[in-house]
Amino acid sequence: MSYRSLTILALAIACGSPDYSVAPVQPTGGTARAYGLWTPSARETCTKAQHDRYSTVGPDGKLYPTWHPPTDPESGCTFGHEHGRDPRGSDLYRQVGDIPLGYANEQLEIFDPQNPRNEDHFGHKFEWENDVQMNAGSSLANRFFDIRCDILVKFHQGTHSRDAFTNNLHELVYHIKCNDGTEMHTTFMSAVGTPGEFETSCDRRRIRVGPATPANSPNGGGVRIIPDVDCVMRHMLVSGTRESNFNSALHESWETSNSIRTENGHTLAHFNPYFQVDAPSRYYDPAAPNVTARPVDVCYMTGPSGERARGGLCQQSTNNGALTGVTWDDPRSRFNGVARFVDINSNIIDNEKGPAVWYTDPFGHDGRTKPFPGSIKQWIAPIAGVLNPEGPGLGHRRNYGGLGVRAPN
Amino acid sequence: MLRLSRVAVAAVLSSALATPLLAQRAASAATSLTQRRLWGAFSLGNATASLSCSVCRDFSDRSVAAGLTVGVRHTSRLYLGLQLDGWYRFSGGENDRVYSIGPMAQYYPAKRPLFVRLGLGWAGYLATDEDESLASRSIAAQIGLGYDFVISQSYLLTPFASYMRGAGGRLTLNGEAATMPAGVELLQYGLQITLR
Repeated sequence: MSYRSLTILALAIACGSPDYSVAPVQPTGGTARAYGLWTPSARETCTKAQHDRYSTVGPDGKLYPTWHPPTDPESGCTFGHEHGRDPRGSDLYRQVGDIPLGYANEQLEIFDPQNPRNEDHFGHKFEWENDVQMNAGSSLANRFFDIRCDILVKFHQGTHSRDAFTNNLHELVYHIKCNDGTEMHTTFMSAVGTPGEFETSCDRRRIRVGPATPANSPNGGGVRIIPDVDCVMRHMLVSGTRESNFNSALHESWETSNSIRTENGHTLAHFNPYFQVDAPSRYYDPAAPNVTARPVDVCYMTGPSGERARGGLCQQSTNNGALTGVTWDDPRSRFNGVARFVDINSNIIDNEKGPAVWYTDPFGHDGRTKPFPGSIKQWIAPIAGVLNPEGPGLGHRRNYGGLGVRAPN
Repeated sequence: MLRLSRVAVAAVLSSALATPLLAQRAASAATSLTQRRLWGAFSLGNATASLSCSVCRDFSDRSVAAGLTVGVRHTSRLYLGLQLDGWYRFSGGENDRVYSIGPMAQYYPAKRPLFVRLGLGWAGYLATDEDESLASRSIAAQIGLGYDFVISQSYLLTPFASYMRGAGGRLTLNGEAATMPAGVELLQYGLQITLR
């Protein structure tokens, strides 16, 4: 399994992927910082070795973790967490191969050793869809054009901890290939919104929480919209026989705005997927320990006027109130981050003169035609897109929960 | 003076001899022109038009089409001309137009009345709505069939059908060139009135 990616890479080249392909890499024998982060708890039945064999060699020759199912198909043991949709079903997998998790983080540590950004293992989430019907941008264009794209994305979106309250740097791997020529294959640290703060989901108030890690995190476009105690109480604790509105209480949206730019500031590509989570396992509460509170605990709360959480996720998590003391990391809690989708949105390319291959800093900027320490190779189709396809939401009807999956996830 | 006189005599003799020759040529030319016969035609009918490209939807629209041709009769079986066709559709604020222009040849394999028409020229598609415009221009080839009915000494009534296809042309959306080439298709049928 460890060198499976080499076979796939070789196959990709042999099958004649005409433009973008991942070149085979000689392993150095070293491991990335992201490798080996996970250790089983008493609730998981897989061993660390069973987990760590899901690995791949990255472009730097180091060993990285990669996608794995929530349960090991060979032994049936449980990992307790999931990484979304199996990327091997994507038509882009032939070109892309196994995706190394944490590669951009690793390059950041080379690029700026004083300011690393280390993300946990749980939060890496895959989503993909083949032959997605896209919006061509106007009614006239949509009347004439049928744009279809293969899309494969991997985003680190941890919704079990306080990390995203302050930290806005999250690894994003974004692959898209469309029949109108739009195509890009990118990996970088996406700066989502402002470091040190987020916006509340109910009323979009800006909450300043504290310093981000790293301290020099750049300000990104977009925003992290995260539920806070006011929103949760307002929509989860209800009076009478009303049912709680868990979506209004807890829906979380990380709205990214990403640009791949050259060293002279020209924007080669811009894309802005929004990553949404329906039932995260935490919300912001300044009065809670570590400012982190748990939605499942609200299932057991009583409001000042007798309000209670009713129906839906609380009903499922507590078995209609029969189960007491279900904790946030219990597999029976439905507040586990497995219900997710991503709005693909727009894809704009302005790279007519080429080349297709650029080497950028770990943030996707300062693009040059030759690699430099800590740089990441990006591939942008040498076109100036006119139709700029806009994508729909992916993953609405998928639930990535499995046996033993629980927060942290 | 003698030299001048000789030149003068030569000039007079030359013009005297040339005049009948020039007259003969003029008469021949007039006769040839009459025999060549200019001709013209106007057509009206129906056509389905579509835009084809790698990401174009597979649909076509039907609407009115008209054409104008002027030309010369090269032989009794071969007529040459310059043909201009147009197609127009309006629906709910959207305007679609197709145009084509180019030389054509109309050939009668058995002298009369069935003919085959071939053409090669320039064709374009233009679609607009309130906010945007889509345009395509390309080289296009045409093939058609027709059957002449003589309705008078100078007029023919001809039902016809023709197919035109363009390819490899420039496609623009709001003036900006798209990455893929495109071409227009026009399948037309109707009636043509020819004056010969």
